[in-house]
Amino acid sequence: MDCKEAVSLIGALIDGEISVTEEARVREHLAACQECAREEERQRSLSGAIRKVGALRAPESLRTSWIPPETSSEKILVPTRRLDLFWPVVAAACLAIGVLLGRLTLGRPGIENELVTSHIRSLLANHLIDVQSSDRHTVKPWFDGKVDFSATPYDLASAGFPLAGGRLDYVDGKPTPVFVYKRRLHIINLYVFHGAPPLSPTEARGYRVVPWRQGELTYAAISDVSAEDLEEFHRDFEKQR
Amino acid sequence: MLRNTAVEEGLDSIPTHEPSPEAALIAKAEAGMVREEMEKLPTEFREVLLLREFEELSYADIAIVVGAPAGTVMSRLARARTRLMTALAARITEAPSGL
Repeated sequence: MDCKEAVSLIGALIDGEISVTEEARVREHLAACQECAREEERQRSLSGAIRKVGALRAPESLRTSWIPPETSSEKILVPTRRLDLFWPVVAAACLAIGVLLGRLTLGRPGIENELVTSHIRSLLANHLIDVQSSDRHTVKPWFDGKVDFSATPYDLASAGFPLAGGRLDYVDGKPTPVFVYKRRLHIINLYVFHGAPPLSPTEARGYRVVPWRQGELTYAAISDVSAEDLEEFHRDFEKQR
Repeated sequence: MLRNTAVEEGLDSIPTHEPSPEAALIAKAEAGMVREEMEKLPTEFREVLLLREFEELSYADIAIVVGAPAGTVMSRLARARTRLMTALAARITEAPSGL
């Protein structure tokens, strides 16, 4: 990894928005490159400094007072003279509150988008597979100790979906096991969640997400294969239990 | 790792590596100053920074809120941070007594 790539990933590293494999590569670079390591320090310090600002007030008052007050810096003003700024800020705040509330209740936004992004990244960034094996007895134990639940990567080769391996990804704020299957030249990533993350069948950016619940686990298959193929995969996987 | 721990613990502990002076200064930057500089950021930069650092939203959630792809969120955040860092560094070096 060169400095340019490392620097471009430092933000994502600090934000915990980086795959395990990428993280290892960035950290390797940071250990060897003082200049980039300093950039990471600076960014962490900056993040800390920003959060200190956030901690000063209750979030609601901060959001409404975010527009620079024109007289006192302490008083919370609703500057009617700056309607041009006021409404977009209010709208953004409402959305933010909505998202926050949504996360706490049933209506929390689905993680479909995050899954699609994760799927695309897995294809782009060459971190599709951490453990390469078509043998489920190799793939399954690899996850032991990495996640606090157990799921079985059934081999569906006879159904036309050979197991290619597995990797650990980071989705919905949690380490998430992913089983990688193939359908001819296509890749199917099967994400496994403990519990029931907010997920519904989706089509986005050319990829399909098919989620289903099985006991305590929720599975989400993502691929660019046809809807029929993905449904078939879903049925074949479900039949295995 | 050693270096990060030293910075995160504050400056009480003396890092064994060469310390990064800017990181230390930024860590101590006065909240009011940080806020002022955040207010000066263009709205599109400020909103992603605010959603990330205050609301602690994921990139995917920020993308939903601002209606931009997650990749754009990532690059916008990076640019917002660079701008803010540059502005703070300028303020800090021009008024070291303000610390």
